[in-house]
Amino acid sequence: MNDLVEIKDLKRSFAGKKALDGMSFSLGTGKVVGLLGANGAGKTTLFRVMTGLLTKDSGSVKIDGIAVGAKTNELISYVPDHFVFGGFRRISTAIMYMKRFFSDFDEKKAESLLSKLNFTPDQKIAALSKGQKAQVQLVLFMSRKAKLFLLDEPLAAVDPATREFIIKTILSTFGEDNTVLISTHVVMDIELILDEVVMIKDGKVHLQGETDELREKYGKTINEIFKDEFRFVEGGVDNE
Amino acid sequence: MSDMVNMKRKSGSRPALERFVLDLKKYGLLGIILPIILLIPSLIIQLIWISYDKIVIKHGIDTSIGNGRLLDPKMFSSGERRIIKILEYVLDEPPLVRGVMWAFTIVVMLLVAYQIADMFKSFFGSNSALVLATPCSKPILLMSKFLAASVTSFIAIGCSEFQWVFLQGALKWDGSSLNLMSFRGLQGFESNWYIKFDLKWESTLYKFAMFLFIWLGIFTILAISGKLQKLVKTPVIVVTDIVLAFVLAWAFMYLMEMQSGVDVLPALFMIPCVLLLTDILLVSKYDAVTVSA
Repeated sequence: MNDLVEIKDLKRSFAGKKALDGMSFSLGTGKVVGLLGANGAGKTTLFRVMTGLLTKDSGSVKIDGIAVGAKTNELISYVPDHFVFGGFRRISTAIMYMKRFFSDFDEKKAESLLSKLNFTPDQKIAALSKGQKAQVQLVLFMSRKAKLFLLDEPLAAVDPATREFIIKTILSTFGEDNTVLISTHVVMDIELILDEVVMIKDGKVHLQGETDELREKYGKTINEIFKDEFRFVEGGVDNE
Repeated sequence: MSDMVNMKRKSGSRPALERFVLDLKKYGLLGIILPIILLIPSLIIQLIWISYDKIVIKHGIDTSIGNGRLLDPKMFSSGERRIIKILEYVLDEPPLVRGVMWAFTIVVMLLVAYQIADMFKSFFGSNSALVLATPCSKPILLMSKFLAASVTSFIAIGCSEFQWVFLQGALKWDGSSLNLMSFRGLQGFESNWYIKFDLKWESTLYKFAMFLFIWLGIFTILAISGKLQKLVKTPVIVVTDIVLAFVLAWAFMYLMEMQSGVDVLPALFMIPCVLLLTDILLVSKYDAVTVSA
């Protein structure tokens, strides 16, 4: 059986600067995986290559055995690090958009989650705060029945209550048939829900493994391992 | 993935169609509704021109082209005189007519500016992550947007062109119209009228072909921008795009002014075809995100 994500010797550079420098790793299904790395490690570039938003220089990326393209878009639900529904007037129009373009979008689930957060469909998007926008966006993308969820820095710049909601949403969406890959440098908050971590540094995989195994091997928490591994990265470390 | 979800997955063409419909709606106000509203006054004038044609036939006025002729105003009834007076007023291009023409120009310019901005936003802007996440290949997505932009632009420009044609004379089925080159009474209504006819035929196809050329040129700029991203920084691309867009607009204006014949039509249609192929080849392998990349 194929791995859900299969990345081999992936390279991508921007104006001579190597963002991904021969990255290779694979992921199976039914996991919540943390993609950990300092700022500029290549997390966002990796997600954008995986979703076809950026082209690769060389190497290969396969999702469920299929090379990145229109077909893999059916399998991936990508939650970017910035708000993408800014052009919509109301939450209901954003829901309509998702329903229109993604046949695996579960409208009822989205409405139910939004209602739990006290959002109403006729609420104007422009009037939402940054945290509220992050919540709405997460709900909309996580309401797809995708095979692979890519969450780019979902915990950055949100209050503790929103963080808790995000984690709950991830757990409610996650199942045996899908995998959630979360990029973050705020490890402490999500450590407990991670099954596996992929630590990247300088565009390469620095460390990969099951969280339990890593904890046992190093005798530390994932957060501590992460801090130790990235402490001397040039340009500083994100120590939360 | 469950079989049920598999079965429900939309094919590549469906999202493209959805994109086309969505963009058509988005551009609809500037590209369809406003131009049609602006066309209403000239449609009314066109009806008056048709009445005028009937008057010409009724009085057996010789409509052979190029020859001026004198007519006695007393041969027309008061109603007929009123019709002729309205048309004389229209041919003088009063502020009202000029205002509608300007409104058309502004609408078309706004439409094109909006479409270009939307194109940039969709393929390069911050919400490209949403637009390009749809299960549809980039070239097909590009074609959908292009078609929606073209349809609305053609309607807007077509309305603008027809507005002018409707004001000029009664339109015939072959696209020609009996145009009054000179209409003014020599010494007012009490004296004889000097009327000179001219048969006019203008191809709007030519303008459409030019517009197609411009649109695909813009797409090519977008596609090349994507390729350039790997080599140079985004601000350089943006400046290059703006300069190229101006060059393209200038080329458009120049060709419109200098090449007014219809014999260049085949060449004009060939250029867009080549550009379209270039776009499809380039866009399939380009980067989408420049913002916050």
